[in-house]
Amino acid sequence: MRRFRTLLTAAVVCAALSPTPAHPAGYSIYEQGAAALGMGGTGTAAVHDASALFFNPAAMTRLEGTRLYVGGSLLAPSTSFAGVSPYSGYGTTEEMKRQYFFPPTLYLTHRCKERWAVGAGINSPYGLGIEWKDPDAFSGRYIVTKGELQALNGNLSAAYAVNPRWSVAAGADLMMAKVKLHKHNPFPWGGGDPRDVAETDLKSGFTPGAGWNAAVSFAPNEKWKLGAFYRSKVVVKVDDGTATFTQRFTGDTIIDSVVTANLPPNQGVSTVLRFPAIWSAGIAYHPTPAWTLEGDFNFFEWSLFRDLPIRFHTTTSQSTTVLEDYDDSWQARFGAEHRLPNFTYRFGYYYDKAAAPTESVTPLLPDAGRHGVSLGFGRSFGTDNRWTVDAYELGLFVQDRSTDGVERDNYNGTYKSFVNIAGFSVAYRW
Amino acid sequence: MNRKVLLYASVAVAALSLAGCTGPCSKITAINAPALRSGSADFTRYVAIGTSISAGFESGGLVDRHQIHGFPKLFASAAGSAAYTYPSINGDGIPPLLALKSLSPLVIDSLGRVTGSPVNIGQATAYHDMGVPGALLFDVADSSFYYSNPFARPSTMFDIIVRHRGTILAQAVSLNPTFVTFELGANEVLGPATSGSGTVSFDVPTFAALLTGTLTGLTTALPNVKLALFNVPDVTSIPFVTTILPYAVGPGGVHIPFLGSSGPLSESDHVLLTAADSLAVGTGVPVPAGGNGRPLADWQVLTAAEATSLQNVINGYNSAIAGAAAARGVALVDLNGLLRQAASTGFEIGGVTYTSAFISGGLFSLDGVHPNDLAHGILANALIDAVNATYGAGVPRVDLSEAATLSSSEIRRAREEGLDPSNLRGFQSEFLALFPWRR
Repeated sequence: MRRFRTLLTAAVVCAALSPTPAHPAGYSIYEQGAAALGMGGTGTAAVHDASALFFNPAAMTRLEGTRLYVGGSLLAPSTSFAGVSPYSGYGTTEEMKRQYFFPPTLYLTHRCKERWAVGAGINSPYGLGIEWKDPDAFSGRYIVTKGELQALNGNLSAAYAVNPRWSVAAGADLMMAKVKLHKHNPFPWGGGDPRDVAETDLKSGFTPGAGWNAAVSFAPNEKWKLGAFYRSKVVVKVDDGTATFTQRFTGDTIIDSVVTANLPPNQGVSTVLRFPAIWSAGIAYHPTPAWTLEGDFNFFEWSLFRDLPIRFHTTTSQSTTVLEDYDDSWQARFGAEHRLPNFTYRFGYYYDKAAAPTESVTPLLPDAGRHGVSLGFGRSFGTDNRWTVDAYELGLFVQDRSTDGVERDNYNGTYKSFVNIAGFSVAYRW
Repeated sequence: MNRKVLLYASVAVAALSLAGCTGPCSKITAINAPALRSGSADFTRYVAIGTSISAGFESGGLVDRHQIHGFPKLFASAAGSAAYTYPSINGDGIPPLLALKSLSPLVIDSLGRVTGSPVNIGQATAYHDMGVPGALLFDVADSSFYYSNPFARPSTMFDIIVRHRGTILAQAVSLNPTFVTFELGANEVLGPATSGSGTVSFDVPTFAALLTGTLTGLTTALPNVKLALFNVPDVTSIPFVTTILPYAVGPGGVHIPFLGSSGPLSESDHVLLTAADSLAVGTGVPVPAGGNGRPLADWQVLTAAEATSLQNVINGYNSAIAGAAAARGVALVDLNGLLRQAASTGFEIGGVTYTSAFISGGLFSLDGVHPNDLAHGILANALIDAVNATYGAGVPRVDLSEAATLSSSEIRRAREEGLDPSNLRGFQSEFLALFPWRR
């Protein structure tokens, strides 16, 4: 039992570290299982470890015994920007600070008797973390200098095997989300050049939102598996955020005194965080008992992310709504797994379509389409191979994205991103 | 064996994760301005004909430090026009520039400024920037009007820029330009607007006829020249006209109308910046509201009816200008639309909203009439967009982060000059000198 306690402690510590996952695209984090990610993030049809709780809860009925699964992914995004005229001007470049994020995964599944299985898990399916270098000089500092979105999702699901071929599942999600935004406030000097006269900081504590999920798994014979799941949207209404305004003194007493007189008081702020629904369908083929080939198609209802309202409680006239108007988007994922007697290796590829319309490609969320290429390994140990360790490496080649001169803040140029992701999991079954 | 494979894999994964940023994760390469394409136009020799806007007049004066930020200079640089010259003025300009001395109370004046002098007034050739503050369309092809006495206008700017060397048109032609911007019509309505009159000297048919005649004169002398015509901004929406509300706000938010020459003002009347001094001493303010009960002068108020009358003239002028542009197949720059946007939604630039609000809006200079350096950048880009669209050209847009400057003139601390900030002053004398239009 001591081992389990260690695993649990590790998972709880991971969760308590407040993961600040980051992605350059949308703010979905699909890195929820090391084996599946080794296969390009496929798993809706053929997932066969406790990460089924995320990739297809109906497949839990095929997991014997009780399984504990602890893992996580290290995300290392690098994002930079090259401006064009009229703003921020030809020749300008900007870069985000190098950050590392570690969204954790913790799953527990248990098969009760023949037909029923239940599972509980904690993961971080959405998140965002951006911070631009040299915020005092960053050309987009009046839009955003720093932004964080964290979501921790608790999931409880039950699966039922209708017969040996068909399984269905349903579950409930409780998402705890928090957000943080920081930017500088300008005052235009006589010739139109702005100077920083204040900074605005908005932040909220973890706030709950609810969702649900349903899944189906179908294994008609030994060669084929099919699966599908739906994870509902989660809308988190934040009413107890805090807005902090800090004056920056320019040294010009005329302007400084006006800013002092007009600086809004620190106050409460409300917003709405939106996490889109996901539809997924997958098909897996086993040409031999040692091989699995899978293709998944995921549809994200990103049109839910229509805006980011910011409602100040005291100086209500300063409330604003950041328009986003995202489009629904999709991912096509392909992966293979080869199980050798002593270890398993995997590889995969996926394409993830951008969800942001060009007008919404901003320094807060420079969304773009991306190609992911993955490689993974796994090995089981111990008595009856009760321990399994999996690891993967994923290179996310984000397409360069130009704002085509139409970004809403008139902050135009091209963003370039790459995300290096490496993850692992340790699983135990009994 | 398998352990080794695992070990290698782990090492590979760790190495990839920790590897330095090269290839796909290296920083993006800066984007350079695209190479200039002139399309069917030729920007080799560019001449600007126009008003104070083309001259780069800001904050009540003409001075080199703002002339270099004027839209003609920006366009000449972007379009690669060689040897672009303008009548440079040193010191604090002619007239000396206004300075913001205090925001609350608002004190703007030019005390302590050093009047500048023309630097290159001896230049043998005409200037490429033939923008003349105060110039009317009529003046382009006429040289007697501004040096003699029909309207008794001060001729300082004409003396400096036109220099008694023939008409503006003739001087422009003398440079054999391949490209000309033509920006006229604003002064015809600005004079009346800033002196509280709804009457113009040139009605729409007269203006249209003058426009046709002047443009024909230009294109006859320069058959291959390419043109960009600017239309006329709605001068009733500039800060000079819109800043002071026509009422005081009493207890409980009640509006107490100021007093005009024919009684209390309506909420759609405009009190001009030139009334600031009078209001400060109680003139125009009803006695119950703490004033002296005397009315503002007629020239301190642009009534709603006068404003409407001017807007109708502006619309007529702009129809003529749009018609001329269409008939000749030349570029049309919607200066009217730019000001309308500034006065309504404003311009969003990199997360900053710029509007036509006085001082805080970031687009107007301290005289409340003329665009500041950033606004000239926006103007230059509007010109570039129109030219590119009309002539299939590729003139790169101006970088607004470079066009914007800290100073529309200068911010000086009131205390340094020993001023008493409790007195609102400066507007009346300074602005009357700027806009001497009286009828």
